[in-house]
This record gives sequence, structure tokens and C-alpha cells, in this order.
Amino acid sequence: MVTRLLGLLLFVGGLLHLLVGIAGSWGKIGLVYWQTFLTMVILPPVLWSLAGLLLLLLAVPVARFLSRGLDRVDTE
Amino acid sequence: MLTRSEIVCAWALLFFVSLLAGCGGAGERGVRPADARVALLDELAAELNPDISGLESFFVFWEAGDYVNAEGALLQYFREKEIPEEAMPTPLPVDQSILIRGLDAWRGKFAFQGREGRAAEPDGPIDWEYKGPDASNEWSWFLHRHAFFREILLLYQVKGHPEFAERIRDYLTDWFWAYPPPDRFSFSASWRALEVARRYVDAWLPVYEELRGTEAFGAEAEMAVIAGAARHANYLRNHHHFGGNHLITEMMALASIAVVWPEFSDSEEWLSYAVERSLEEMDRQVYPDGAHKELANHYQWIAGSSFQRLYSLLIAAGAAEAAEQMRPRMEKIWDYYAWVTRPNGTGPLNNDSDLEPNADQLLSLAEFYDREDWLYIASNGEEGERPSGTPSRVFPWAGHVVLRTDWGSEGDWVFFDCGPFGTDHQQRDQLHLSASLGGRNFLVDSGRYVYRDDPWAEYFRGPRAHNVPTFDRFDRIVPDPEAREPQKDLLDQSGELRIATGSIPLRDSVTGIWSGEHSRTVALGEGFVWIVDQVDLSRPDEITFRWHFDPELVLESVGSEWEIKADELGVGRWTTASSVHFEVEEIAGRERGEIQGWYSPEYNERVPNSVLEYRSAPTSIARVAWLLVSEERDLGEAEIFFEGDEAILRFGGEGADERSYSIVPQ
Repeated sequence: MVTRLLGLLLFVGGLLHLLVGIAGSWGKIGLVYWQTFLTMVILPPVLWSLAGLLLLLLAVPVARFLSRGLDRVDTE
Repeated sequence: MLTRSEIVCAWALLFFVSLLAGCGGAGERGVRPADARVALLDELAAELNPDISGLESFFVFWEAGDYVNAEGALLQYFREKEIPEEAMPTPLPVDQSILIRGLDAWRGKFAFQGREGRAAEPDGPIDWEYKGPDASNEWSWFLHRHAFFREILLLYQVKGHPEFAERIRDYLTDWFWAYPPPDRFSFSASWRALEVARRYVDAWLPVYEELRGTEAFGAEAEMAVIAGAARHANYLRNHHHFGGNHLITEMMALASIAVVWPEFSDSEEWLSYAVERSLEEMDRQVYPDGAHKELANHYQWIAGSSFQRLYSLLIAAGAAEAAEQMRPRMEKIWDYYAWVTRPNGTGPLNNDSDLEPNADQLLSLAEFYDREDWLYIASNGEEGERPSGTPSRVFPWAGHVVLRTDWGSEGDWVFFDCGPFGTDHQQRDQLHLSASLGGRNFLVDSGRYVYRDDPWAEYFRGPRAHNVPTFDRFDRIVPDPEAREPQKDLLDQSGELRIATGSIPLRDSVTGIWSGEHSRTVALGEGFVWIVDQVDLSRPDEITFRWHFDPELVLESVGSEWEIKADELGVGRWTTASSVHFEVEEIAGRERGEIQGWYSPEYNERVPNSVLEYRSAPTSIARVAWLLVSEERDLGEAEIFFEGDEAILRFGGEGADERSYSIVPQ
């Protein structure tokens, strides 16, 4: 549940940041700023979203892996 | 037992270390062998092509172990050979300052880029590891370029004393044996590829041409220069830089060695490799509009000169096809260089540049290419043919606009930069403009000063050394290093004024969103420059505009204007109109706190200049107009203001023509 929530937050947060980034800079990107725009504004939120999506898709095995690790912790 | 991730990490580390192992320092220092001349003959026998006609007797004697006759045959063959003039650097003028530098170098004292250091006792060998008074790499690189050989050589040519030639001999052979070439890419001062290139073609070759056969220079030094050709060429062939202006110089040097010394077994391969790489680099490093992609006037000259030397060499070597391929791009390179020239003959200080004498350098090129228009530009219209069309021009790939009212030494000139960052030697100068009126420099770029990592270098590279605004919360976005296509609409010449426009996005440093924009319109008329700035920000921020004036000018505040004086005479006026209030401060030569008010015409040299700093209260929108008027033209009273969306400039007053212009800021 926590893993899914984290994945969802990353995915939605990334998408939102991407949309705000594009909307905020609309009309301001000159011909010699595209590469910088892609690496500074587009790429980071896209990577967040992809990481979130991956976490959503792999939530079950990731959660299982984490819980197995937690089981092994000797609380005494 | 290792986990999978540990194995992956170990492999990655191993890979990285193996990459690093492929390059490094100069390798071990060498020792002069007991029989140095025999060692040189053996080295040359291994490198020279035995099928070369004229070298047969050398090989016969050498194989028979008759080293005395082998040496005689070898030196006689090479002494009779002509060295193509095109492979040689431009001769040094017989100048007192050069002769003094030569004498200092003879005594072991060297001055590079304005910094003097003693690297040898008057009679002793050079401490080649000495890095100058500031322990700087730059100084060390210059020491290993051996350019001072030519200064001592000039002294020898003028005075004729053999001890000068003997000193060159001692320095050269000492270095030759101490620094054998490493078999890998080296960042050391001795074998950094650019130093390798410069040393051989700009120092060893002219020294050899002049001193071969003289008793003072001697057989060992002579053979060291010949064997050194193969050492330097092999190194340049296999361990050159990956790109940039260095690579061009390195390939020019490789081609020069190949053409001067076709007797080596690998000479043909060196030449074809150098030509192939140079042609590739020409496409890679030069925009179709002729600007070198580092976008610095200084490196336009450096890279252009290396291409030029290679081009001349190819013509001399009869490589017509390669030369023909180079020709159109060569003309573009120099055409750009001609058109950016200021009325006083110097070039702009864009990116990392010194004040280059563009006009003087163009004269010989105009003759070489038979370009009457360049001759006209270089001679301020006294010779040649006036270039066709208007004197303003845009370079759409470089993003540079040159505005000009007319050619000649008293013309008005603006250089406006709205292009990419540059592929190297960058400065954060987007939307900067430099301006001259009536041939006099008014607004300037601060130059490059030094290559170091300190507050001085940071100042000269940064926006605070340029005529652009900075912000408290917003950052100026650094453009892409390279343009992928030409920009449009940078220059408008349809009206009475020549107008250039550009804009830069601004990034909110807190949210990371590009939610601001600064756009600039620059208009040039006869005797005045009018600049209109518009800043739009998504939230209020403090804006600071800076205007850097030529160091020869003195500013005096007169009411809301500034009077600009040179030699105590009024030469210009500076006026502002704005939608917001600015606090103005004049700064010159400030060293403590935030460095400000410095100008550098040459590397390592800085002089104070006046800077007007305009700081606003936080605001979201600002429209500012700036007017620079030459007092040397009778333009009357000037007034600038905003009316609705328009910026208005009006000239009038007693005895002056009433004129008005308007601009709608973008």
C-alpha cells in the first residue's frame, strides 16, 4: 500500500511538474534554448514519472522484498 | 561471497580505472645517453624511409656502423632541402621589446602573458618543472612551447653572437633528452598536444631553418630537431585532442611536419590523417555563416589561422582537391572576422577574447583571397571596394548582429549577442551589446582576463561583467552550446533605424520554472544607440542593470543624465527612461566584496572602468529605455519616454531637426 502510494505520488507529481513547467515557460523558449529546456525542465519530471510508474507496476514484488527484509530484522 | 551488485560495482570501477590509465602525466624523465649522436642516428634510421632517393648513403654507412659518415650524409641531405615558407610561422618583427625578451630568456628569465619568472640561472639549464611566479599551469605550458627560442634567435640574427645560438642548442637538447614522448595521452605541460603542436612548428622549425649547419647550433641539436619531427608527429597523430580549436592547431602542425619532412615512413599517413580530420573539424566547428562555434573573436582568429596555415600548406603541397574543399569555408571564416570589426579596427571581446587587431590581421588575408571588400573594411574605406549591400549584418547561426551606420573610422557600430553559449570558452553574455559611436568606444564587454577558478575569473565570465541585467530570485538561462538551425528575425532594416532584437528566458530559482523573460531591442541611428528592455517576471523581483563603459571615459552625473567625457571633453550623453524607479551607482575598480568595474584588453591585464549599476525595488514588469548619444554629432536635445505600449525617442531643440522614432518592445 505504501509502495503504491509512493509510486502514485511520484507519477502524478512528475506529471504535474511537467505540465506546470511547460505552461510556465510557454512562448519563452527561443531557438537556442531547446536543449537546455529539455534537460532542465522536461527531463527531470519525466524521470520522476517513469520512476513512479515503475514503482506502481512493481509494487507487489517491491513490497514483498521490503517485507521480507523487515521480517529478518531481529527486534529483540 | 560477492553479491551481484558488488560484482557490477567492481566491474564499473575497473572500467573507469582502465580509462584513466590511458592518459596521464609526461611519463618518466629521460637521461641524455653517453653517445647522444649515435642514439639519434639509430632513432632516425628506424623512422626514415630507406627508399627515399638521396638517403641511400646514410643507410649504407649506418648499417656498416660508420656513424661519422652516416651523420655527415644525413645532415648534408637535410641541409640542402628547402623548407616550404607556408609551413613557417610569420616572422617576428625586429622590435626592441622582443630583443629584450630574447636577452632575458638567454639569461634564464621568461615572461609569459605579462608574468615574469626565472626558470634558469644565467649559465644553467632550465628547470622545466618551474611554473612561474604564480605556480600556474598556463605559465608552464608557455615555457614548454619554447616560443622564446625565436626571440633568442632574433637576437642572434641581429647581433650575430654565437652564444645566443649556443643557448638555444643547450635548451633544446636538454629538453629533447629530458622529455621523451609518452605512449599515451598526456595532460603534462611537456606533452599536452597543443604544446606539442606549437613547440614544433612555431619554435623548433624556424630555429632549425635558420641555424642548421652552424657550428654554434651543432649536429646533435640539428638531429634532435629532425628526430623530434617524428616524435612530435607520432604523438599528434595518436594522442591529439578530441575537438575544439586545439585540435585544429594540432592537425595543422601534423600536416606541417608531414609536408616539411616527407622522408619519414609515416609522413604520407600523417598528412592524409591531418587533412581528413581538419576537413571534418571544419564542418564540425564552423557554422555555415562562418563563425567558429566557440563564438569568441579571439578563437575565431586562432582557429582561423590554423585552418589558414593548413590551407596554404595544402596549396604548396599540391593537394588541390583538399584545398578546393576548404576554400569556400575559409572565406566564410574570414568574412565573419571582417564584418564584426569595430570602426577602430579591433574586434569584439565576446566570450573569452582579448582585443584582437582584426583590421590589421585582415590586410594580408584580403590580398591572399583577392577580396577587395575585406581590404575596404580593413583600411577604413581608403582602399579596395565597398562591400555590397547595407553595412549591417546578421549571422543567424552565431546569433550575432552587427549594426553599422557606415563603414569608415568614424562610423557607428554595435555588436549584439543573442546566440548560443558557444562550445567552449563561454561567458554568460547573452543579450550583451558593445557600442561605438563616431569611431569611439562607449559600451564595452569586459574581456576574459584569466583562466582560473577564482572570484576574478568568475566575474569576467559572468553576467556582472556584461551589459545585461541580473536578478535576485530569477536566473538567466544559459543557452545551448550550439545552434542546430539559424535564428530568424534578429535584424530589421526596413525602417530608418537598424534594429536588432533578442530575448532570454529567466528561471525562478525556487520553483525551477522558466516563468520570466527578458527581451531587448537595440536600435542604431547616426550618432546614437537606443536600447529598450522589457522584463516580465511571474513574481516581483529586484532587477539590476549594469552598463560598462570604455576605460578611457569618465562619467559625470548631470541631473537625470550622465555626461560622458574623454580627455575632459564631453563626448556623449547617457539617458534613461523607465516604468520603475532605479537607484543608480557608479562603480569603478572595486576589488573587495562583489568585484565590479574592471576591463581586460589582454590576458592577465586588467584596468578599472566605470560601470553604472541600476538597481530596482521588487517588480514584476519593467520597461526601460536607454539612450547613448554622441556629443560629437549635432543631434540636438534628445528625449526618451514610453507612451502606451510604445517607446518613443525624440530629437529636437534649437537649430536641430525635429525627429522622432518609436519601438514597440517585444
